[in-house]
Amino acid sequence: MTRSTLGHRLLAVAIALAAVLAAPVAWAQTRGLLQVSVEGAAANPVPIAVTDFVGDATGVQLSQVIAADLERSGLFRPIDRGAFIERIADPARTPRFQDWRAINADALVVGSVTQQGGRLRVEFRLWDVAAGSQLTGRAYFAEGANWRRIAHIIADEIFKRITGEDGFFDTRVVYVAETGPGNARVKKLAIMDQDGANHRFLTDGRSLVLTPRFSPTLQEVVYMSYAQGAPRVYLMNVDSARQELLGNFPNMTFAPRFSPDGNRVVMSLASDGNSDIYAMDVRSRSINRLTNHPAIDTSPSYAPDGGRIVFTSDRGGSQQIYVMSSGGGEGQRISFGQGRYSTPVWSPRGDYIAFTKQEGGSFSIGIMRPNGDGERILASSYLDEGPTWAPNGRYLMFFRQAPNAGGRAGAVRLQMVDTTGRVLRPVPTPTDASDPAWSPLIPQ
Amino acid sequence: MRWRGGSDREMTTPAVLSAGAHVVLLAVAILGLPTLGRAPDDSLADVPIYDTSEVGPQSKAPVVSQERPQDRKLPEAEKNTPAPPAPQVEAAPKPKPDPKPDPKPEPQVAAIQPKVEEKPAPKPEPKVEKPKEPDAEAIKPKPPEPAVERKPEPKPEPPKPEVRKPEPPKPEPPKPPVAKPAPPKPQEKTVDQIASEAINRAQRPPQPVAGAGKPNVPGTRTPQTAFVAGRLTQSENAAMADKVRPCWSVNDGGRDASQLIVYVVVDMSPEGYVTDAVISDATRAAMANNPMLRAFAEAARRAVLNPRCQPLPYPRHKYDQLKRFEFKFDPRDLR
Repeated sequence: MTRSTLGHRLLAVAIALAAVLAAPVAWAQTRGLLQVSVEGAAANPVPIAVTDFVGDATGVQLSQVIAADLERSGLFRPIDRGAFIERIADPARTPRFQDWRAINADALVVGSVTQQGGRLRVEFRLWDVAAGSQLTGRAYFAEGANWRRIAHIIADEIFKRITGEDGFFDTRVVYVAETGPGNARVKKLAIMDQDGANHRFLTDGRSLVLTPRFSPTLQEVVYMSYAQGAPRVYLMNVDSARQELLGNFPNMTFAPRFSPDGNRVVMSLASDGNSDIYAMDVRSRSINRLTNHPAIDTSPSYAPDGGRIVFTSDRGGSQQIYVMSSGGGEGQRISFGQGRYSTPVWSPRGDYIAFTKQEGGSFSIGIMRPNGDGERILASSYLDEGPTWAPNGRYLMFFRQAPNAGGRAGAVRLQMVDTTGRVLRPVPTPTDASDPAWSPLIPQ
Repeated sequence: MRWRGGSDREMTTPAVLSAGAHVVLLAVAILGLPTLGRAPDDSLADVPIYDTSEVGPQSKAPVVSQERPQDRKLPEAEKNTPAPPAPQVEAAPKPKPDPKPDPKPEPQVAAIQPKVEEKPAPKPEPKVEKPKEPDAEAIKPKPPEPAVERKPEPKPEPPKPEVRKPEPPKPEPPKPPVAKPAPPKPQEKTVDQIASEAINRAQRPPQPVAGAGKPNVPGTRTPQTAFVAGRLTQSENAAMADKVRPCWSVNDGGRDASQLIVYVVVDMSPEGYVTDAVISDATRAAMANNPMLRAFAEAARRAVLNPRCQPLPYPRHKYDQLKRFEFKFDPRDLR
């Protein structure tokens, strides 16, 4: 017997001995206790009291933005301020929990805003009312103009502490703003916070733009534009509005999307009536062909680990969803339901693939597991299309078009839905809006 | 005796010192330390903020594209898109030396707050007296129901090495049923009792539950279940569960949400009100590095503490077994 084998055996004996000694402790804790089993949870939103932050006048607006964020998630129910019994004058003091229990608040948010050296110092605390304990507390400094961003960051903190998942409030959305009649539609790239605030246009509408997609790592988007007459894929930094052509191909390129590390863009390239999927290195501009099939392969999207790509193809006779290795290859069909599937997008969480489904007279937004199981339709209407994931993989945004009426095109608006389908919210935009692209969480 | 002569002087000094120290100690004991004088104001939560962050503008203007080979600005960027100001990274007046974001509550919080978030496991005696509360009398002298008596396991319950709270001395002797040697007669049991016993039998053997649930998901099917013995009928369990369930708000769209199971140990007054709720040690250990599980467990604890979902409709004749019990929360039908 070698020494290492002996050592392993001794270790095994020691572990077994420890397990034997530890078992009675675990047993002792619960032995004799009756167990009441509660199966199946209620999908009740958490009742939360968000008080006005004291101090600077910004405090009231700040708490309103926090409450609106939480409400929009569908997982929280901010309690009407009029019901509050205790008036928080000093957020550094322990609240009177009985006052908050009396209005059925599960959680309580207090905070303050002060000016320090011409900058804002925002401090907040989240209390568990039932347990009477502080769950989290943080302070932030920022220029006064950035108070909304602080509100979103605080809402993210609250969301994460209560639900256990990352938030999605400190994010932005790039989309295609549409104006004008149907035969002379003007389409501009626009950007806004996820709640519709801080809206601005990124392009002036002289060129048609389509399918913007956010980089998962930087504040960059890729999109398709007719700026040079033919459709081409461009790259834009949304802060500087600087844009550039991504590759100079003789033919049409479209349906671009970033890899999870932001270093590559996968897209379709059309040639002689056929389209295949290519991956391009954003820095070196080297290109790699991933599919080579007479059918139309398009709408590629990476898995969050970068190892696989989901795409659509009509190689089986109708447009369906396929998954292949990120290095290319044949691909395996995963959609087998009725209708046609398009625009598959892999969740940043990795557990679902979102898609648009056309069946009968309607278009729907749905999700399925990466192996094709568990297909669920989350929203459906005359035209629901173009899903994009929030960075936490819990919510989706898409656009919904109403049917044409009286010779006029129906309104096109953005919607947000969660993976249960229970939370469906409109996203405000100043004009008609399509093709949303959700940003990652903005780096702090 | 030698030591006496030689040590008289030596002993005087320590004796004086000792006496002085005792006086000081006595004074401190009576008057308290000067710094403790502020203790009575327990409403003051000097809770430190344990993280400060510099929040920049909308984004930190990533360094991209300036040096790219094919860089060329198209003529369509609008004038209303000014680049946001560069992020401010100056050493701002941070209020505190900025300890890292630590999920643990600060020590000061624990010291000052009226309640501590997680109660220490060993709970001394105060709870022992609970059953003696005046109201308890109405319920306590419950004549044990036949259903309970017939159970073939009136085991004398070996002395419990109770970890958390010493149970009050079991009033086992008052159980008349022990005297009744009549063997259990199956035909006299109700359907509920039979079902309950069948379930209990299945639960009783302390077998590891390796196959249950998805072992790769932390916090699932903790081995604790294997050691729990249940003696509630299904209808009794359902009544208590139905009362609490509406107060259990969970993130039902969370990843693997349906696989998370948490346990909360509850102390209950004879009136059915929860007087204490502690996340079980096993759950707490599992949730240390699983934020989802922690959120589930805390939501479960909030649910059982929620006055809206009390009093619990428990079988009064089983109070002795239910003055402390365990809630198992299993959101199995979540997606």
